[in-house]
Amino acid sequence: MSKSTAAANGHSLWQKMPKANAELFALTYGTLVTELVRDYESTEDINEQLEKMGYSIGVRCVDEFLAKADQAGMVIPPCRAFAETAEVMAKTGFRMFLGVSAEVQMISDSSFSLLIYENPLSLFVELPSDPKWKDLKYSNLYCGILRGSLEQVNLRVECTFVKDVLQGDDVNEIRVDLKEVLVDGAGEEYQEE
Amino acid sequence: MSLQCLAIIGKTNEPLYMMDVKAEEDPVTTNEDDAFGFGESQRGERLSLDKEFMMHASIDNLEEALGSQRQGKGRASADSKWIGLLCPMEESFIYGYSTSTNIKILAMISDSTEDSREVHLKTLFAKVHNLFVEYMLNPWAGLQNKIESKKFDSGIQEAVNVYNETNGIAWA
Repeated sequence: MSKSTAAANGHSLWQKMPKANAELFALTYGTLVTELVRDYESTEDINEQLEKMGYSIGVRCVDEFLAKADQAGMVIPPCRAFAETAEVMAKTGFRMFLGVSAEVQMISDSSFSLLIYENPLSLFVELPSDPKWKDLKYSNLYCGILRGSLEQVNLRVECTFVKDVLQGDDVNEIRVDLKEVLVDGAGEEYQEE
Repeated sequence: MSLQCLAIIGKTNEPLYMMDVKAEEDPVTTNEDDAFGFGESQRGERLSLDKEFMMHASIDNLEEALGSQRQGKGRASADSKWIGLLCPMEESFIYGYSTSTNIKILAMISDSTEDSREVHLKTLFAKVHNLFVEYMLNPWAGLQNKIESKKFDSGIQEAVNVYNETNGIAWA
């Protein structure tokens, strides 16, 4: 699917979605992160928890995405290459759910970088300049969402935040690496003899 | 007519933020004199002790002004946030502004002429209020803590510079 159709699909799907107040969304996420900060000691634990939460969200998001696209009469064909998956996710998926478009930078056949310029989660946020917050990945939820949603379409990936605007960089960059293409099927106990 | 210092006072009159425009010219205070603990702030600027005390003294006038307003028609109109001249000190005037959540902003202006440009001061206070609101939306901002944020500092610095420039030109 070409880039422009992906973007156009994203835009029209976004218009059909019910909207929430961006400030409420950002503030709710902010309190979620501060609660995690209170509960967990190390930033690694916090990052891990955010990723797990994202995973549960992602698992549900992909079904909604495909269902809504179908209802809207759009055809999202099965992707023939990982690059296509990346484009669909960045242009259509992100646009539909968050209203922001992301850019894709392919690094190799099995890994790409997702560049997000505007992050609706980190509106108003400024991390304290204490050095222990250098490792906090505030928007790690996205990594979990990507992992969860791709796992539902049989792609096992690992996502990490490489650059973060809150930590001083100019863009948010998420690195996505394809680890394995999973095979559909029931477990061994259910195989017929 | 230039702004000498700015202070933000919380609900229970605790100091949240103090900023001195001419910090370099006041090297007299040392760490022991710093009663309100602002010496160690990240900004590196320190409000000199005498200015701190002048601001503190004007809070009495502020309470008086606020108290009488509350008994009157209440704080309904947009203009009712503005309190105005709190007290004239030796070389400067202190102006006050109060938000609907009882956060007060005080500004000390050194006045070289008779007329006072209240309009510019009102816009300055409105900008400071906006910056304060944006700062409060940060999830890491404590509700009663001192304000420590680079974005807030730079915003205030810019607003103060704009105010000093517009007044400098007017009175040059």
